Amino acid sequence: MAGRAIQFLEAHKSEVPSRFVAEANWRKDNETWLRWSRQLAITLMGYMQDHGMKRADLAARLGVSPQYVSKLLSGTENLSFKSIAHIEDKLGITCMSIR
Amino acid sequence: MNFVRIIDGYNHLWAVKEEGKEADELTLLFRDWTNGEFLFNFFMEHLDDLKDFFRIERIDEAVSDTFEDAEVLQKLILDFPYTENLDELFKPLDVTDTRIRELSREKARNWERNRHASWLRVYAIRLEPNVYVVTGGAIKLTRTMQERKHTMVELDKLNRCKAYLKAHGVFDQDSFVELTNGD
Repeated sequence: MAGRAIQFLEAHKSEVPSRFVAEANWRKDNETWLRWSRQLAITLMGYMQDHGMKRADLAARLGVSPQYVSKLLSGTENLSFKSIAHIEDKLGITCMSIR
Repeated sequence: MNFVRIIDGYNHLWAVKEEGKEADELTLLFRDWTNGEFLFNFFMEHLDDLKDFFRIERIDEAVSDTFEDAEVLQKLILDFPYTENLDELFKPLDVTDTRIRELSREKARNWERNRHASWLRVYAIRLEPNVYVVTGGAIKLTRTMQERKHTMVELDKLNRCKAYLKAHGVFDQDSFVELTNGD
């Protein structure tokens, strides 16, 4: 039988169940391409710090919206090779290297 | 204040679900810690702390370390059998919580990080041996929680949850047994 503390939690349970396990599993299932996306985000962050840039500055440099830069920085965007090449060409950097 | 069970079928880990918030505290925490833009903005804002306390000057390095750490912490929380031994993962927040472990305030982190100590903290109240309610968490770059607003907020959340549980007569198993015996 559940202890008193568990009974209390059960009685005060939210109607909205936790998404933690589902979201953690999604991150785990997608970890290989997420690692690429994160690598690109981290490279952009380094570039921004080196050049004293904010999100809007980077957006202007890339010719994209600040919202799109947010997606790039999130490290969860599934980008095409073409999009990555565009970023590399515009900034003169290498975002991804295949070993 | 409401609560959610983190893993279906297991009673050991719960989280606070505040009314008006989209998800429970543990879910929200890991959404932030796996969102590069959130981390970039956070470390930009706290760059001086990062330099002073960790001797790290690069935001990209801090974000990369955080991604790595969040992944390890997520694994520690979810992967069996470790997840069933939460008393190993959580440790009392300070000396007052060590003395009396009745609804003690606790912290979890990746205790075995290389290069520098982990700055990610999951905060929880311990209800019974191996039963915890997560109240939130933080990227803690300073020595004490009182030094920064965002960690102070988390300390308040811990204290609020503890007070709420206490006000509703929730004791840990040992205290409950003692009370019953006292009667």
